[in-house]
Amino acid sequence: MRRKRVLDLGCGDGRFALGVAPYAKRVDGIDPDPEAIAAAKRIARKAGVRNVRFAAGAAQRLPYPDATFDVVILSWTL
Amino acid sequence: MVDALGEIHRVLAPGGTLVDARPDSRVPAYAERRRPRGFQRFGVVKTSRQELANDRAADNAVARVMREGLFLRRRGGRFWHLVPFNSLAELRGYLSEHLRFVHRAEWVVDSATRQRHSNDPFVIRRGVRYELLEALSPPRAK
Repeated sequence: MRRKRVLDLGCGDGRFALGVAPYAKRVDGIDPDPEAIAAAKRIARKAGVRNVRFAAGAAQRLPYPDATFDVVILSWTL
Repeated sequence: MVDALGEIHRVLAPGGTLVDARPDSRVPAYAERRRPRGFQRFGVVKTSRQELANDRAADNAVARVMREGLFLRRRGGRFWHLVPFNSLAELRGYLSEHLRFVHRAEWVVDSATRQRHSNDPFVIRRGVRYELLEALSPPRAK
């Protein structure tokens, strides 16, 4: 994960994304549940993590350009 | 699922890695009492029929995108994930609400043993399957 661009797909409240953030260059978290995303943003703000972004969205239509990430994490998502 | 894996392939740089971890229903989960050293098996917890079907669909989706040349398996395996509980009642409460498992364990110890240790710490031990898949360049159109 070191200095990689990481996508946590199905990130929930961002636990995993925030755990990876200290090592990664940038982490994006996406989840279909807007409440979980709101919680993730709150936790990230509180922790002062700056290289993480969260967004609500579906895995079938990811709002990112081609070849954006070096690593995609699917944890309990498929 | 195949659509989602196709999207993942699109946003991954060629040579990038997909890390997939999901419950492994090919092995049963177990209800176990935590002892000072190790664990004592109390019961077997089966996966619900619906979740077995979902897991099979996920397996098939991963196999299909590899057949289609989008990903190459670099590594895979299984590890055990322990879900902790403070008592047997707490474990039972979890099972009664959890959609993944059937709602009751099949006990392998007698009721007197369960009663005697009902306030001990317990875990549900369940298998997690992981795979590291490398994103390949999309096959060229002929």
